[in-house]
Amino acid sequence: MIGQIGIHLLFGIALASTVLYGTTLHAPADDKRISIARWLFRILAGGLVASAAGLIALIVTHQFQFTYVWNYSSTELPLHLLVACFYSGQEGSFLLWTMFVAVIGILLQPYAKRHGYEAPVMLFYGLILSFLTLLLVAKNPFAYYYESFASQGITIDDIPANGKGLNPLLHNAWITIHPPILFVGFASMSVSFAFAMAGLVRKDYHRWIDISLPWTLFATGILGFGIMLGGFWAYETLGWGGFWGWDPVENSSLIPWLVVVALVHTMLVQKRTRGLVKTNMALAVLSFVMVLYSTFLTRSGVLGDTSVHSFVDPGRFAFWILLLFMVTFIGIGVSLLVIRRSDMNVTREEFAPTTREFMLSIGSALVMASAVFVTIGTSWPVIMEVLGLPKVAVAIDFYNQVHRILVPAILVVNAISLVMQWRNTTRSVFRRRVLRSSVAAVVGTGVLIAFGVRDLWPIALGFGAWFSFAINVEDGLRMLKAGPAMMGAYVSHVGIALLMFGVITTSMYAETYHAVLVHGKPVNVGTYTLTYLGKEQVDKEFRDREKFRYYVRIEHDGQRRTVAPVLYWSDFNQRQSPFLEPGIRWGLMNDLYVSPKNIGREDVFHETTVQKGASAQVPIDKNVSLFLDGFTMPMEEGQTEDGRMQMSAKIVATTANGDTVNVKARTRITTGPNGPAFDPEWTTIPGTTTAVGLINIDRNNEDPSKSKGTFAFYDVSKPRPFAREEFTVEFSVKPLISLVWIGVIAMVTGFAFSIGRSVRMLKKKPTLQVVQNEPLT
Amino acid sequence: MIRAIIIGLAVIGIPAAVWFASQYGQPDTVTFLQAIQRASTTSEAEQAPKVVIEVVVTSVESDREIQCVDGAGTSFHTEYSGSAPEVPFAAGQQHRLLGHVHNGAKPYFHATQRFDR
Repeated sequence: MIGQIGIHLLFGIALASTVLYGTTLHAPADDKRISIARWLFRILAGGLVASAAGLIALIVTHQFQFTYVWNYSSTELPLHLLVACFYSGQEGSFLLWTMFVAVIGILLQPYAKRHGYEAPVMLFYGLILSFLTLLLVAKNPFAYYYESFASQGITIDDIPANGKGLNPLLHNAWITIHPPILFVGFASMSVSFAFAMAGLVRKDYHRWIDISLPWTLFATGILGFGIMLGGFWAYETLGWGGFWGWDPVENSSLIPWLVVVALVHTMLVQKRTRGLVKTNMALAVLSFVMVLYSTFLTRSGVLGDTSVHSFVDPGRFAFWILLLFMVTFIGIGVSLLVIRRSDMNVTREEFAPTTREFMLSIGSALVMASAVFVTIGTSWPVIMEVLGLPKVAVAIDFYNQVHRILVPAILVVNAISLVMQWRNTTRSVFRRRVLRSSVAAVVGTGVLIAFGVRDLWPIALGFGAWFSFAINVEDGLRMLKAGPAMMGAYVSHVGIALLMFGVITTSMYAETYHAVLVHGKPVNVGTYTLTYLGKEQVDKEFRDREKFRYYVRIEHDGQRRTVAPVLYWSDFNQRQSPFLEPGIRWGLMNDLYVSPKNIGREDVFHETTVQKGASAQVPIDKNVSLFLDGFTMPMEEGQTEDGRMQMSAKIVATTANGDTVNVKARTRITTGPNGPAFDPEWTTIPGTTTAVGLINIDRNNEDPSKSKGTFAFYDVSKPRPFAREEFTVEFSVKPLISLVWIGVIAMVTGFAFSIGRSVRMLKKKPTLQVVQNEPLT
Repeated sequence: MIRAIIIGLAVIGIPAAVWFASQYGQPDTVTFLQAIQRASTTSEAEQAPKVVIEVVVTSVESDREIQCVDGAGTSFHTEYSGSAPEVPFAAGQQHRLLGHVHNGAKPYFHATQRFDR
């Protein structure tokens, strides 16, 4: 009860703080109301942190009287996964997001105050928190089990003994860090929006750029890192072999990131030239609105059955809050932009094509084009539904085709922008620097072609990546003399070029083989030898699954490595499809990736299926045929000693000399979550050396006379064949995929350098007085 | 100049993006057997591709389970899990069903949306 009341109270505090900040927009900094608003905000942040800690405590101590705890956790989970349960459902992830917004707000408050921006920034920031806490009211993680299921007759005394458990796909260490990092990114995207809105309120169209740049860089770096951690998790856990699938959930993080990447670059242009004022305001609004839009797409249930991810319908109240949240901030942003439109035109200037500002603008436009395409693609099911057409997602190839043009163009424009100088570039400087890097790019691309790349797209991407790499390395090394702080952009860009090299090598050179591995028998695939060594049951404490690790030895050039992919069925998805985890041998030059596909037994018995009333030849003895007369009922056969049901097929066998004999082929049936399993009693057909076993009954409920039986046979004059376990895998060699991860690390490191630099530059500037407040109209 | 370039790009690019998406976002209309053929190229863990099948309802087993016949005359079982239809399923109705097939010993169609023909 405390939790539920607390969430409602926090919504009230968020509103009160926001309203108070709103009333002090034109008040002096020492106004009493600002002090109260400040304290209310601190209480709000403290309350949200306490709520999050409270929810974690409820999960860790297995308080299943709370619906959320029951729904997403269970007693078998280890501590780190119990903590991850906190943000595995909608309610918890909203709380995590809200808490991070509040915690960042605690850091933002004194920062904004120092720069004379506290009231307007915290007004908009508080409004964001008000909506987020309202969402928590709608999706309260502290709802009781008996409240949620009261309509089903559940009372306060009905407390489940155990929870439903965490989705098995999330039983992974990476899931404990990927969502928090992503939500820190989402939360920090609010800051540049709040500063931009404050700038519009204050008619201060330039200073907000300096002040909010470190925050914007932080948001870009951390969100980019979070997105790629998601890719890494997919690669390491899901077993489909890739790290990016253009799924709506992935795209929903990528879209705001692309917008904020464009914003960072246009902010740099405004810093140096005082141009792109309106563009920056619009992009700051758009970057935050796209966070809300993406959240709406993936949390409102509108995408429904169009993704590999499941989208839980949040309920009507939460749906409308999400919609209102988005519409409100679009309304605020657009209204302020329209009101200040003419005022912002004052410093408009043209950029000559031979300037860095021009190329950075073009580069940002290309990044925005990518954002537009991804947004349209991700929204496609919603567009179709609005038009009354079949609601389907666009094919993945849509995104691939678009980015085959956009990514090389972005890389080349990025590189050229670094060659250009601010305000003007002399032709000789341009020619000299572009020539050097072009030669490097041509040589590099030639190497790719020599290694077998023939398609236009990877050649174009390779050229773009080499060109960008060469210029960034050259400039970065030059900048190293001035200290690492100056190298941020270059390190980030080199990271992106490396990432692209990784994309080329894995998409063009990866070798993939399908292999059926019989236990203990080496199988050659390409230049590798794979041997399935056996299995080991793991996670025995989980009762919803029998999870096995399958050991596969990989031999190549005299070296032996063993990987352990995992394949299992779980009650979590009613055992409809298996859960797969790849076995990976990580390497700098290549990864060996074994993706499990199926586990079964060797087909050593010859089988045939016969419909009731029909005949078939015995596969191992063509002189003998069988006629399936029918099946006995389980009650006729009775149970086995261990309690299994039994049925028999009534067969009439015709031998080589024309004799007919009646044979009863009995089978013992075990019913399980994957359907019935048949254990045949082998019966020798009199006058032959053929043993027959009934291994499946396919009952036709509509017309029982069309039911079928499947029989297996072996020759009793020889030893009974032993069916070994067969492990079906997809084996891939992924060359230089390490470049993808190294590239991402370099990109994030570059952002860290840039944040440090922009903070230092800001400190060097004299403290600015609070700008004269002006009314909105 | 930059302003003109970007406005021009937006004016041409956004409708072009929508058109381009429409080329990749239309499910094919197929028969049940064609849908099974397409599903056979997907692995056990992935869902079969979304397709539209034009059907005539031949019998109704429940409000979510029907028997249909497609244009090629193939009769097949359909499970419907979309939003509750305004007019309940009835024998003789003609629909366009969006969904995917479940392959296996007894293949069936899992429809998620229904459109009247």
